Amino acid sequence: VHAADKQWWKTHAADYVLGLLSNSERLVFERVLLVEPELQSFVIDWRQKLQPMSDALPPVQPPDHILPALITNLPLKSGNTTSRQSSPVSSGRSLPAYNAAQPGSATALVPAHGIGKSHYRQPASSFRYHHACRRLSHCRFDRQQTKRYRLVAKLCRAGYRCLFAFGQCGMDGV
Amino acid sequence: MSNTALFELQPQFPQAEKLASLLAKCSDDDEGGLAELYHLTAANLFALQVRILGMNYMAERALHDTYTLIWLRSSEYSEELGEPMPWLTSIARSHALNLKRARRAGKHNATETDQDRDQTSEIGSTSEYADTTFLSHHASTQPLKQSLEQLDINTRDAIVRAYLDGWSIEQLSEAYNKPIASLKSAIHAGMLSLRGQD
Repeated sequence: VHAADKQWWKTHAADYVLGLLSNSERLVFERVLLVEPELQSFVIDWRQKLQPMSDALPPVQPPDHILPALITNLPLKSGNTTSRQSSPVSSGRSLPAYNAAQPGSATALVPAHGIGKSHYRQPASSFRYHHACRRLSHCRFDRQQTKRYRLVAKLCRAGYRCLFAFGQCGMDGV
Repeated sequence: MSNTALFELQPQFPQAEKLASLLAKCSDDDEGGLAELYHLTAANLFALQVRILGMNYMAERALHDTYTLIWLRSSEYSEELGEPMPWLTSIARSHALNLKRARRAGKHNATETDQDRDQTSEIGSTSEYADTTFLSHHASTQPLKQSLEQLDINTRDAIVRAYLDGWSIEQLSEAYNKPIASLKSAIHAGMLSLRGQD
């Protein structure tokens, strides 16, 4: 950050933390934020400064059903990547059905019910496995059931180990 | 770096170290860590999300998604990012704000009742939070409370509403009947004076 622009960036960091930037401004700001450590420190400082306001709010107990749902629906973490993951969290419309299956957990190791048996020549690489999971989790469970069926069939043909998907879609007998 | 010193960094949340260790557990795929983190912080984050989104299914969904995000991003957290609580709060806030923006964007095809409910939840609380008395719950909030009280009431109110209620600059300018540009510069001046120096 150039010294002359410091004040400008500081006030914009404040706007960013308060959530007052417009959508396009915010996108630009976030791009710059990724590469400017000094701007990051402005943002961190503003957050720290304003934090007492949200700490002082009277706490509201969330409903009891959230935690169990949260724990059972935790998404896959793809290894120990340090990069920012594009998360499967919904940005507005549909709540994706998160994958409960972890790679290497029991659900992923169940043999196939006949489908695509001959294609299990090699285990899918973790990269492929991960993307298969991601694609499945992006299909909406209720409305796009048929689409999901088709996708599962396609993935099986492609040799993916996507057995976890059957458990998840409730399609065990297919 | 000099600008960190300006902020008199102090532990705002008593369990900062505890939370940091729980985040480390999360990044090691320990679900118990996430559950404990949830027990310690969910009521606070939920309070903020309820302020932003209103007490409805959307706030619940926001909370669910927030902890999912925290789970995924826990390996990104380090001490350089400040204390855990502001980091967690920023994830919760920005996710709630994203949902609110999406809701606002999709409002034109929402039903009548949805619109009515949004109107009342956003405008019905107009006169409620202009004061900063709720800030006196914690001792650590005193410095912020004092510097907020030195601002003029409109600027203070705008900052509190933007931060806690997620009001956009358009909403604020409508509420105070002020042009966006002058409101923004008032907020900038107010924020800089909150910072104490510059």
